[in-house]
Amino acid sequence: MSSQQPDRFEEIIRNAGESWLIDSFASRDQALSHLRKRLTEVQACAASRGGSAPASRIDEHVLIATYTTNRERVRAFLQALGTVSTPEMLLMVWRIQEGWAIASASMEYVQEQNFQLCVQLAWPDRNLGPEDYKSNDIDDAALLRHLGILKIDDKPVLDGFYALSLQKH
Amino acid sequence: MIDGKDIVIRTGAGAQSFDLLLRVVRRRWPAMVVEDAVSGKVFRDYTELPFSAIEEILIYRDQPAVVKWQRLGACDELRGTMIHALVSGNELTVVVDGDPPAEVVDLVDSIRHAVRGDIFNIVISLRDAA
Repeated sequence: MSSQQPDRFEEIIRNAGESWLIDSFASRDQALSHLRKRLTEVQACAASRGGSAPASRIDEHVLIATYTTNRERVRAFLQALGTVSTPEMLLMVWRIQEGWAIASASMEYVQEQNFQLCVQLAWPDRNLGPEDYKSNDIDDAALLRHLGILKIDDKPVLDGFYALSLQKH
Repeated sequence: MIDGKDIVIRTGAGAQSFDLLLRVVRRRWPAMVVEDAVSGKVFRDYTELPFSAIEEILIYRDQPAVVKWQRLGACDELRGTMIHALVSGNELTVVVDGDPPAEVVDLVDSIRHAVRGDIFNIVISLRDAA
């Protein structure tokens, strides 16, 4: 595709207000290629995990289709695509957005030695899960700032994955 | 007949308010049924909800509650079985019974806490990209 022709994937990124995903690269083609490669990695991760629950399908066509009905969901995922490092954690983000609940999460960090983020997802109403997601890449700590923070009967709950409000100046 | 009470919550969550609200409610009402209050379309599955396309919803505790609301309308027997919510600008309005049961009061407290979270109310400024 010519570098002058917009494509649908680029359109939703820009319409969602997430142009930084493209413009922070030296070239637009390079940026889109990188984002598509990352989506391919997430899809491969989804397909390889197995388990009893149906695998998620996540590619640019799914994002484009979802954008028409759930713009904010796609916007949040795109933000993660630009910051979260590992395909496994990006898959976890998509699973949460599909409706999976965060059953547990733990983070271990020792300065200049160790980082580990472990998250377990489940969907009790559908008898799905648990599914475990782990990362040792500290870039993945960025996803924590997107989680919904709740108190149900004064008890702690993390649920949902939400877009940050971005403003360009 | 039962009266309704409007609870207006200021939030920057916008369209994300409904997602968060429904994630709260489904923890207490796992068989909830959601109706688009404008189109009348009914959603029994969270994954079907087109959050970008809805501005006003009715959340019923379960399918029997839907049937009773259709048959009886607002009456004492149905107190605490339906929540009405709408999003407009920077406000989420939750409409509950005038004298709601404790379960609904707790749900509204949780919803208020959730949509007032920092993530929805802090705007991050982006520098001009390269």
